[in-house]
This record gives sequence, C-alpha cells and structure tokens, in this order.
Amino acid sequence: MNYTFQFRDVFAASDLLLDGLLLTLELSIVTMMSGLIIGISGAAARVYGPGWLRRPVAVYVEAIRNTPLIVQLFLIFFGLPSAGIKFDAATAAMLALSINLGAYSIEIIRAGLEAIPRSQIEAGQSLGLSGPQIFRYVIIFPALKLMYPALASQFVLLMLATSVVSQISAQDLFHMASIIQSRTFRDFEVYILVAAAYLVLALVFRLLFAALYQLVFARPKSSR
Amino acid sequence: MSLVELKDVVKRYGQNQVLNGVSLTVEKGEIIAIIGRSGSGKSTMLRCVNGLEPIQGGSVSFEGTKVNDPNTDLRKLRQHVGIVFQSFNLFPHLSVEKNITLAPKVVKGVAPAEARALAESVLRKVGLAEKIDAYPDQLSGGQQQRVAIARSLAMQPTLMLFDEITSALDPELVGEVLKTLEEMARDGMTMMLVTHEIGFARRVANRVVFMHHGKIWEQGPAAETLGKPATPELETFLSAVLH
Repeated sequence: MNYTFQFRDVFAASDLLLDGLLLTLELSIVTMMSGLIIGISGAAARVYGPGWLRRPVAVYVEAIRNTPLIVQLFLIFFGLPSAGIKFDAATAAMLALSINLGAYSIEIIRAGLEAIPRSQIEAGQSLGLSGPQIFRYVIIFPALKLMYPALASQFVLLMLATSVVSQISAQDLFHMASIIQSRTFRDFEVYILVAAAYLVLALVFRLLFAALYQLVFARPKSSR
Repeated sequence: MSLVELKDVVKRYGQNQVLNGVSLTVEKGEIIAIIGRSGSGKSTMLRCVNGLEPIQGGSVSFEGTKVNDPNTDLRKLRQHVGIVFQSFNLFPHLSVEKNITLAPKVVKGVAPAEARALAESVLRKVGLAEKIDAYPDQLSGGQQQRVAIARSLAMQPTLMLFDEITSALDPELVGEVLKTLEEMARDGMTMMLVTHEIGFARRVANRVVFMHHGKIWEQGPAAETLGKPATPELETFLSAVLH
C-alpha cells in the first residue's frame, strides 16, 4: 500500500463537519428525551393499561422493531407528503428516530416493569396508594435502574443510527462528510475523520450515561 | 358492630377451593392468632380482610364497610388496615424514612417536616430510631421486618394484619420481631396474625383460630384451645409443630 494521506483539504472544510456534528448531537439528544418519554408511558400502557390500549401499543412496538429504520424514515419523509403531510428533513428525521427509539425503549422498560415483584405492588396497595402513585413512587425507579444498561446502550446505538438521516438530506455529520468527499475526493481521509468523530461521540455519551447513573441511581455513600 | 366480620367466605383459584365458607368476627382490641398447616387457607383469609384477595362468595366487612363490594373505596379502607408480609416488601430504593413517610405524605398529605417526626416516633416504637437514614439492604431481616411494622403503624391503622411475619427470618432474629408485636399488643392494637409461633400465640393472643381444609376447624381462648384441643386435627397439628 502506497497511499499518501492528505488531510489538508478535508480539514479546510471542518466547519461543515462541525455543523453536521451539531445536528447529529441535536437529533440524538432530542430523540433520547422523546424516546424515554414514549418508552415510559408506552411501557406503562402496555403492562398496566386497559386492554384496548395494550393491543395498539404492542402493534406499534412490533411494527417498528421488525422494519428497517431507513424504511420508516422514507415513509415519513417521502410517503406522508402524498397524504398532504410534509416535514422538512430535520423534522422528519427527528420524528422517525423518536418513533423508532420509542418502540425499543417501550420493550426495554416493559421488561423492567415486569421484573418488579408483585409483592411491591401489594405493599403499595396495602398502604392506600393509588395505581398511578404506585407506578410513580414504587415501580418506575427500580425498573429504570434495572434496565439502565440496556437503555443506555440502545441510546448510543440510536446516536450511531442517526447517520441514516443523511439519506433524506438532513445535514448531519455523515451528510456533511459526503459533501466534503464530493468536493475533495479524499474519501479515505473524510471517512476516517467521520469515523473518529462518531467514536468520540459514542464514548462521550457512554461516559455521560455512566455519570448520570451515579447521579440518579447510585446511593449516596454517606447513608451508611 | 364487630370490627371485622367474615361471613361464609368462599375463595377459589380455578378449581382449587381455598376458603370453604369461613365465618369469623373480630372485636376491637382483640388479638387473634390464626394457625394451621400450610395450604389450609390462613394467609388467604387474612388477605381477604384488606381486599388483596377477591372472593367468590360470602362477604367480608370492616367497620361495617363491605370489603368485597365493588363500590367500596379500597384505598380509603386500607388506610385503616395495616398489613405486614412474610417477605417484608420494603421499597428497596427508598431509605427507611422514605419507606415510612411515603404513604402518609402522598395518601394523607402529611407535610415533609411532620413526616420526619412521624417516622422517628414509629421507629422508636420498634426500637430502630437510629436506622432512619439506612436503606433496607443495610438492615438484617429482623430489622427490615420491624421497619415494615413501623411503616404500617405510621398510617395509624385500626387493625393490623400479620402474615407469617417471622417465617422468613433466621431463628435468632425471630425474638426481636415478636417483642415488637407484644409491645403493640400491650398498647391495645387489634391484631390478626397468621403464625407458626405457637408459644407466642398462647402468650399473647386472646383467641386462637385453627384452620384446616379451608375452614375454621376450631377456635377459642388461646390457652384453652392450645392446651386442650377439641378436634383430633388440631391435636395432630400441635403435636407435629411442638414435638
């Protein structure tokens, strides 16, 4: 192999990469928050909700988990306009990613809810707590703690998967990389750089998630 | 009006008939020990009193309110009926204080400052005042069970139900829990307790109820019933337990 790396042209376009990185970050963070909200409420509906609600939630979860993300994205961005519903690329991306992550989160959190022993619910009932109070004070915290590693790793996967939104020309990190590539023809350099950026981003998210765990779920040492 | 009244209570799990027409009344201030083999329906009967088990026949009432009536507000009723379980069922993510104050705060609306004082006072009753900031998994089984008792007491119940609360404890920890119960008995708490501690039942209970095949087979004053069983089934049971 006698390839000479030349990063100069690529670095010259680094402001584009930075813009892309920002959109990737924004997409990831917004999607994680909406995914968590969909996950908690959907899982509650799936496990404790009335029958008429459980079925549609189950259908949603299975439909999303058994189709490719890119198909979901195209349905929203290219399909819905035929029905008169139009979004710009970034909004469509956020929507598709949220719907996707929401379904996976529901399934993960559902497993956590179902792992909480029935006796915990009985203890809450016996103290006069209502169903929603039991969910809020007794069940959800241990359930999320239990499923935290699975949830965090799903969230990191989601961040990496945001790269597919470049397919609808949302100007994320990967899309910007493609633009730079077409300008400089430095394919190898561009994709090395973009791989490094995703790697760093993923590691930063993992570190943040570990810190968040300590903050929210770990018990203060002073209580001993 | 009796505090608790069970009339011809029938409970089935599918084909399996667990309670076979159980009738029992409990007066305020009474301490009732419920004994019998496992599977005789003792725990199930106890759990019918606060509506944890739906029943298929008969009726259960507490202070004149039908527990098994679908229109009854079970949440309200349960504020007056405490229950302590075999496996403690403390909330693992909450400190002892939070375990105790959760229901007073969210159900009764007790202010946070008062709630802490309430926790301190019920913990003193069970002799664990110094554990207020501990977490359940930092406590021994006996201590956890006493916290569970304190948690129930914080709701100031009229009646306390105890479901084999010493059965999951190491033998050397049983004593501290029974001592707490005895103190509650002295304070005049009305109690129904399912237990295998025959000696304790004889010492503390006013009345012993022996269950067999989903029925109340025999009942009477504790010393008399345990001393001179009227039925061969109770006699066999006692000799098996006491041997």
